[in-house]
Amino acid sequence: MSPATNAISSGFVQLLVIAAYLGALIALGLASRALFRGTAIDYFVASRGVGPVVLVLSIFGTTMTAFAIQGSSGEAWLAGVGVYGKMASWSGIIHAACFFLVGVRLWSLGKAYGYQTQIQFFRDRFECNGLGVLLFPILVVLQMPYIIIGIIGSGNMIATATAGAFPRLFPAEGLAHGSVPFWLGTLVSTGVVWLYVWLGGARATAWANAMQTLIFLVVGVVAFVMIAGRLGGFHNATRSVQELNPSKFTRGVSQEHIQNYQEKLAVWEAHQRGLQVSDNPTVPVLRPHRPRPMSELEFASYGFIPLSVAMFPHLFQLWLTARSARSFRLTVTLHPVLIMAIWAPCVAIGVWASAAMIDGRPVIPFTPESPGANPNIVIGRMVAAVGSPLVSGLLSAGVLAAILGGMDAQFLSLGSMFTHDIVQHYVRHEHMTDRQRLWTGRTFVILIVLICWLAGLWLRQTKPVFNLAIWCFSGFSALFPLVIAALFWRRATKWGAYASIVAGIGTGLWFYLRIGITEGFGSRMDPQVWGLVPAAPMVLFAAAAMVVVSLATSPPSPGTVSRFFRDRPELGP
Amino acid sequence: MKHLIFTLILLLAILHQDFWWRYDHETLVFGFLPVSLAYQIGISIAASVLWGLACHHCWPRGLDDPDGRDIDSPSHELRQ
Repeated sequence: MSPATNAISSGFVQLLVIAAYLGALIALGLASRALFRGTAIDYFVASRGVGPVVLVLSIFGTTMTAFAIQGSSGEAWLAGVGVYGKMASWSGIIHAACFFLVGVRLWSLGKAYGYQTQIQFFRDRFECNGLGVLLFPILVVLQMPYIIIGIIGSGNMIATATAGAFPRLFPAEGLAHGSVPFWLGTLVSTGVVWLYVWLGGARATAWANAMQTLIFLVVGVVAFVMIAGRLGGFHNATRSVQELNPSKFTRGVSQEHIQNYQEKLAVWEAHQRGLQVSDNPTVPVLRPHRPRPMSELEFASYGFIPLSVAMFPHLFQLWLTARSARSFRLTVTLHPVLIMAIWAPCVAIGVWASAAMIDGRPVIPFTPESPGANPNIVIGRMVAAVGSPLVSGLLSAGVLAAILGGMDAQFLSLGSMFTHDIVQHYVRHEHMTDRQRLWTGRTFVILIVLICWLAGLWLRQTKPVFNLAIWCFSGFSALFPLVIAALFWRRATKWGAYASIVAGIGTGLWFYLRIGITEGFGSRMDPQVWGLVPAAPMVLFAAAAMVVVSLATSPPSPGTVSRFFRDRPELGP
Repeated sequence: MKHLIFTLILLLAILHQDFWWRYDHETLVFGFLPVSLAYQIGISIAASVLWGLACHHCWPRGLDDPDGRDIDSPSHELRQ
């Protein structure tokens, strides 16, 4: 069998496996429809009946998007193992804190007062109708890029996995030759997610996320082991990096790292000129990566990014599905190790990719310094390198599971926000039948899916997934002081809330525009301000504005304080 | 116990800043894990343990219903 035939078979087999996985998701949607009660509360929050195991898996599956899979491996390939500490272990500590301090309390208030969106809660807590007018567009604008990240991730993954499947039908040049085109892959994957959300609402979302989490956790470990095996074992994979790109193992760049880089680069350049520079003919084939330092300040400031989960609308939506407050305990406890279970293999795979060679060829045929280098396809190329079409297909489907797992709850939460915060509140003045709410929600989900898909096609080549996500997360982080003050500070006022939102989001917008104008909006747009991730100053400004303005304005009415703080539970037994 | 657990969580956040491995590319744990990555994996595991303890010893009371009883508690079951 010729290599060309092998390539075609491999891409086609992977396509079949991915199709089977997407079919399973539709089947899950149909199964959840059997339990669907036909009410809006069942569609939006699964009648608040989800138990602890499904809750932990669904919340975790929702937080693991293309960002966690492609972003982590791509960024590790680019900048080294430091990405684990600055994102994954920080997230383990901070996410659990947000679930413990914010999630369970919002669930309790949501159940007590019937809230289905964050804006409903903030309107009541701050006695202010207009707060929703300000908050709604901010949440939607911040949420949409997060969905688009998932759509871009799914398109890249399908295109990479199915390379060579249809060389005559899709004769694109380069790595995408014969693969399912980006527009078609994203259309099908997004369409499947929309379908099961339509069929089963929040219950289908929770089930699908739970299933996707289990698939990815199992397949992720298999991928890790098999890729290591293909690279000659864990030791060899690591030793290759240690020899070629030792700075991938550190956050700092020493003189030794720079010297090593210059030596390896000279060898590679000599090889390119056809000179014999080593007894081992494969050694000079790989071009070393230029060392990239990560400052300690930047590393520490990434702790502000995971604060964003406290204000994610889709997580709020999933929190509301919980059966009881105690259902959160498993989520709080297991979330850090579940993050580790996905991030550690992805980061290791990404770092290995910087020095990975199979059959005398680099697995990643470009370096971060190459024009048009795309870190987002690193994980796909490494999975494809395993060599078995069936196993590669299973691995690709598993990665796709983690990517799609984040999108469904996001569709649902945006549909809920449009239905409850706009149509029900402003158009129908709180007079909507249950059936009207259900169908309005479903209709908005269709529109959101369509808009996000089109935006995904447009933004595909604009910037790497990781950087798009950082800006989006920073915006949600800037709203963290708002929710903390609403839950824990009786003296927080509506003017403090306004000031906090304007200060946090306004600061972020200013940073974004400044960097965009300087570096170009189509560039990578490294998100750094004064050596910090933008979320750090955004959160601090938002918190300061909340405190100063609240203290300078009239306190909330005794009725509101009583409603939200009287008999409030205290920590501890 | 509550104060101890939250102090340990705070300490964990401080220990997260492992600048002492900043230039160490040679030390490998189990022969293949760069030491800074292995350390941060340890931080993740420690976070899980500490938050598990927080759930056990510091869980907020009365979140499940306004009367201060949790619906999973025996008293709630009796009330049903």
